[in-house]
Amino acid sequence: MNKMQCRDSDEISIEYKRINNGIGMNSFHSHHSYEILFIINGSLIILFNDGYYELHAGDIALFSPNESHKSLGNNLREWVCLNFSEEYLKQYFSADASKILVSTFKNRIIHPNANQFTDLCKMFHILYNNYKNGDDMLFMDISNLLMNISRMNQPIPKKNPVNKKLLDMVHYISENYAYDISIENIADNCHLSKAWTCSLFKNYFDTTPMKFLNNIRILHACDILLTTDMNITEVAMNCGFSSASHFGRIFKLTTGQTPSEFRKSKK
Amino acid sequence: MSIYAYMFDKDYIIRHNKHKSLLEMRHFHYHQAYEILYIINGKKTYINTEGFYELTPGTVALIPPNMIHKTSDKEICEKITFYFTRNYLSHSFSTQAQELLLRCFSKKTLKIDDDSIEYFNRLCTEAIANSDNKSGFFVYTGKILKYLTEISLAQSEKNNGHESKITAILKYIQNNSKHITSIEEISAAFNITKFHLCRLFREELDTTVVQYLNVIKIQNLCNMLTDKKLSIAECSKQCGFHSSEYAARVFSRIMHMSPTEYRNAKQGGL
Repeated sequence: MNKMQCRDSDEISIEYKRINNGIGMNSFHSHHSYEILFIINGSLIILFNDGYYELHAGDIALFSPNESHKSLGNNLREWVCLNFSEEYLKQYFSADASKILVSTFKNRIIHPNANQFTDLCKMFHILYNNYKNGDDMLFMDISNLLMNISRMNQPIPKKNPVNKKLLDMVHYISENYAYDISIENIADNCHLSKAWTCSLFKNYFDTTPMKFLNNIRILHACDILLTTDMNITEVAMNCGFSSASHFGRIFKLTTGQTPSEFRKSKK
Repeated sequence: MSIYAYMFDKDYIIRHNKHKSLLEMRHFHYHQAYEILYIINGKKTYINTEGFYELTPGTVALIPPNMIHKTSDKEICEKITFYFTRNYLSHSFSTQAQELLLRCFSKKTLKIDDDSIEYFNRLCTEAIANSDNKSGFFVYTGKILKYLTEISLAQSEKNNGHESKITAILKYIQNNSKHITSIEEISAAFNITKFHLCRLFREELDTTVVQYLNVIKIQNLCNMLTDKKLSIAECSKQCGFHSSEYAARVFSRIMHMSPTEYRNAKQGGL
């Protein structure tokens, strides 16, 4: 399992992103900080060890420290991601108060209604501006946000257990994407027929297993392109593509850029 | 005095008064809570040992702990009063956070501009609606303090517009409290008659010259009792009281305890 630790050096960080072709953190990862992901536009599938959730525009995902999770699907368009550590809270709040504030993380997903969505947009907007302006009382904006989120307890129920097979396949793909795997491999691994596998993917992700696999490969490729100096052929091999040209074609199809353009544009 | 008992067993009180409040303090008093007084409608005056302030709609008076003060209605007032103790803040906030949030108390009054009134009213309404939520109320407290601190950092101290005669007189009394012996002395310094001076105090401040002078002396005495090791008689004398018996009488009228009790309470870390 490809574990990653993210942004642990900062006690608090807020990122606002808006892109045309969504990319996501697709390997299983966890961080030492609390994370709040607010989806303004687009959708996302988040996989926890024990199940997965589909999130749409307006939804919030709450991640507790060291909780392993991964995001799937590349349809995320606009989002805000807030990270803050336990130490950050300790700096400003008593132990009792911190406990009350993070109690909202017992929920994983919040599904706000239309009014709450408007309020959240405003709150995140203020929070983001104050963060950029170095507000020394940012801790009040954070606590206000947490307090408001805790009143929006409307978890989306988990997908029903029929999808256990699908989950297994997603797990299989996410662990073996770097190898040369086929639809047959995926289907066999879960003792399903090829046709049944395809229809499951079609129903739940509205895509084919191969496209899903390639999406995951591309997401990993993006990570590698941005974080290492590997050449394109090496990146292709590392992500399970048989050739650099095949990789290039799929990459361009998915992100609209060639791998080297992508790397340049982000640096 | 109900308010004293009240303030000692509650961490915070927030209330919205449309009419006259039972806790109306028309005489000088002090408390160990921080007080935020927000005028929605009507007019009030706020007098403390540093001056007097006219409170008009949209004005917030910030009264720090142990400040001897009084407020009086010029017109029937609609207002929000919010008391909280330092001890209450420390239940939820770190020392660092408290210092940051209490910066607004470096100002005596703040004016909330017309564009922000709606927002501040909402903050207050929200706080009042959630005042029974004892564990979560700190967030509302913090939001109000953060907002007031932001305004206070952006506003330079408003000099109340006019440096009026009465402000000058109050200053004179503060600076000379130790050796003023008669009302005539003050009126002479400003070329007005004793009667005019007394009328000014009665009409503008709803108090008397002697009472204000005593309040200043008592505030000085309080500071001296806390800071210095001198005997109470010596402290009283240095603050301009002729006898320590008289000082004790005035002291207990305003502070509701004797100078000795006050000193013990302070040393007890209260």
